Amino acid sequence: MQIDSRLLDEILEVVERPARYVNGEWNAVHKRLDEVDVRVLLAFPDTYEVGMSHLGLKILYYILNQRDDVACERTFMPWVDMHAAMRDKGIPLYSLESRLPAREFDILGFSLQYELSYTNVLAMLDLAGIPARSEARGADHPLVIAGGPCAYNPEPVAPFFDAILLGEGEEAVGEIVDEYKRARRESLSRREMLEVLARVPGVYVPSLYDVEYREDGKIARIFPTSPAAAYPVQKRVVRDLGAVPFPDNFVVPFAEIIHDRIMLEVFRGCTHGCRFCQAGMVYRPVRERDLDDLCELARRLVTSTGYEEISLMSLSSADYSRIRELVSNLLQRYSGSGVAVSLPSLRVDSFSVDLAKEVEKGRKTGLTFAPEAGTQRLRDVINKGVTRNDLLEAVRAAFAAGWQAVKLYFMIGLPTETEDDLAGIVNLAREVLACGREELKRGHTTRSPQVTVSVSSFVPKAHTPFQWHPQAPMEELVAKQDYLKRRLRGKGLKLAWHDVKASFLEAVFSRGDRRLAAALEEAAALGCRFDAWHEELRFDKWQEAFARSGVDPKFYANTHWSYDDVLPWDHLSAGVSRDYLVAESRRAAEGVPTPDCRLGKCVKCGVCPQLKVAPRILARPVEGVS
Amino acid sequence: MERNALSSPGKPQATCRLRLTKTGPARFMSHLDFIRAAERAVRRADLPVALTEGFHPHPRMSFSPALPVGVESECELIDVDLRESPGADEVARRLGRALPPGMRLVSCMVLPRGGPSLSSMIRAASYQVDFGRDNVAARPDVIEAAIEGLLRANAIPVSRTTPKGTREFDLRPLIYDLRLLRGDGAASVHMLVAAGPRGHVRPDDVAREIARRAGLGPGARPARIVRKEFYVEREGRFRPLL
Repeated sequence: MQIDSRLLDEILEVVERPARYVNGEWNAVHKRLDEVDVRVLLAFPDTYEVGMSHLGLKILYYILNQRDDVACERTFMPWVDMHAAMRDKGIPLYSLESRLPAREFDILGFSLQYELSYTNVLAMLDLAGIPARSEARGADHPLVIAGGPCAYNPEPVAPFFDAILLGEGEEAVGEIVDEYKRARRESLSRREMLEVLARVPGVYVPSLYDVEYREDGKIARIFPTSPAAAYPVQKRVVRDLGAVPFPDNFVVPFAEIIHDRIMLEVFRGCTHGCRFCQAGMVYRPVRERDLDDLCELARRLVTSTGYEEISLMSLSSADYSRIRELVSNLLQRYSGSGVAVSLPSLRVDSFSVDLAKEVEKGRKTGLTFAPEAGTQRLRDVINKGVTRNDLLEAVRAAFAAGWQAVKLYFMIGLPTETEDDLAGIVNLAREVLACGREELKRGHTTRSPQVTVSVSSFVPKAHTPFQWHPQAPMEELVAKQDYLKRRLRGKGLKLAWHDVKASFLEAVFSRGDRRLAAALEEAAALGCRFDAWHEELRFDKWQEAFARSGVDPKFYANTHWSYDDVLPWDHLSAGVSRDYLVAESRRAAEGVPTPDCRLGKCVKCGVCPQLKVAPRILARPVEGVS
Repeated sequence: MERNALSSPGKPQATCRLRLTKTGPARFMSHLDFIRAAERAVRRADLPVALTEGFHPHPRMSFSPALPVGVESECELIDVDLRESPGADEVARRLGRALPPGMRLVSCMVLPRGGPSLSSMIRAASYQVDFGRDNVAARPDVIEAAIEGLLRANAIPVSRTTPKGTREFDLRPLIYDLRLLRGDGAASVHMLVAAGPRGHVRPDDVAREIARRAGLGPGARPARIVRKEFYVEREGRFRPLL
């Protein structure tokens, strides 16, 4: 059953940015839905512009559509005006490609990128006419699954999903589709189907586990209730990225999206081991793509998309061991043809600035560095292997090369932080500014340097050494922001900060358990959605939702948990061992850094033996490069 | 290192004038989106396009005036400077395979270098406005009366709100022709309005004014507006540019 296309077209005449709701973008895949066995709808719980900028979605769309027996389409959370209009006119959530209602698909796959998109998941299910809770769905509803970084602690949304994939999807999605087909062929019941899926490595079926709580509210135990349920569920990891497909074409949207360019993933994983960073822990080990493969992919993507920019993506692209060759190769090939190369993430060192200098040429808008903490002591605590000298050297190189604006990322509320550390942020920013004045003067320009300090609030994340740490109470974070606001003033200095309410909610859900599902439902019922959008966040409604559902959000965000506590995600494994996380947490308390395993010495994080994988680094590190 | 066809700036040898549609899903693109989409299509088509100078060279292309979001067109004109001319047929063949839905190549001609630019020539544009079969109030005779009233008016003040503020101007002298198209019951209007140095008329402004005078209510919107043609002025008369 199609939706009423004429009615939809009428709405499109009046909503903001209608181009994000229509089909037919270049490279979009249109298949005859009655000619495939399985119809998959990839659902991104944020706007089209955000979702279409996400590489994982492009990869899965490509891989699934390569199969003749599968049609994979896309849907996104309609923006506020469109959402209201669709509800008003009775238009359900639909797929872009075929304008088919979401509930007509076999599998609905949500991408969970950040906790503040959870209410959008509920809003989308509601708009689709699909019951939110897995237990309320039957044979005539799609299988609702999820993946993405939030899968490493999906407990607050666990009751909403039939299955959740931990880790990388390139190989697992195909297995899920195969098992789904088999279950349907054998006319298995919903429960039997979920048990079949639970046997796919990396697939977590929340309904096959039970949680018992202690009187003090902490978790007593988490245990499987079916022999099909693994304990723990181990994340999926692709051993060799060159052996799995990477899209050689991207959908090119009609209207501009956030990352409107070719995203070339140069490697996956990161070995720096920053103790607050979930990505650095859960995407291990480092796996670099071959240089030739990357050049060939770039060529095919330029031809198939017509994009004018190639962005070299990863958690820290300057770490790619053959980055110089890659950059010069791409520049040589494309510099004369109007196709630019860009590096989105820079390390704090002059090597990175040199690279940026090479690729950015005239477009010197601003460079961003992330020292994360204001003093060496705190940087050692968080294992950010960056010194004051590294930073000053990097910014000096940047100003000398003609950049005039520098952005510095810091976090406040990190474990062990004192006022000295905040003062350290102020001092570093002033030193960077002074350095800029000196260099720009030396360069005989009349321009003055601009230093923007951007502070975010520490959010403890599952599977990191800081997972036991509380987030600082909101009042304290506000006081820290005020401290910085008072001192980071004056010509050339700018301060940007994040809303502490949003950070608080993020902390609640990042360490949350299943009891929070009720709060999410209450919040959604009260109209909360787009919580990640500052102007849309309704904190008063959230407080009401917590009160109504009888959960204390501070228990999750602001309580110190002990090493002995059962954590909500103890049945889920990212491969990094608990012993390593405890050891790292203790080293943090002592302010002892842990070196990068890329330098040769294994840090015993447990990933390689546990997942039977190995880091894949093309070239040995060169002096001064790593 | 191999160099593909678009990899050197070079001096332009020829200009290729394209006429594209902007219909269906493409009507929702903003002008900036349309420019980007055309540049990307040209790159996909691997045309030997000349590039601008500077650090960030991009294809040397110029466009006919912007179209409001939602309005369709049968005559989006684009001049593309080429380093060498593969011939109009070849350009059309390559580009035909590289355009997204709604952007269809209508015609393609290679011009000698040094001719006048689109913006220096364009003086007027024509549009067709369909008021739609469903809009019972928009009977042809009602619309015709509204048009006549509008043409008799001495001035038609219109205000436009931009980020820079609200601006008032008189639409009347910029409307050159307005007439009802005899069709099969639905009211359609043909309009010829200024585009270029004397002013640029938004077709939806005129359509709204007609709807207002026809008593269709403030929220009434025509079912469809299509840009049909661009005009130059020669010997005091408007003639189609292509």
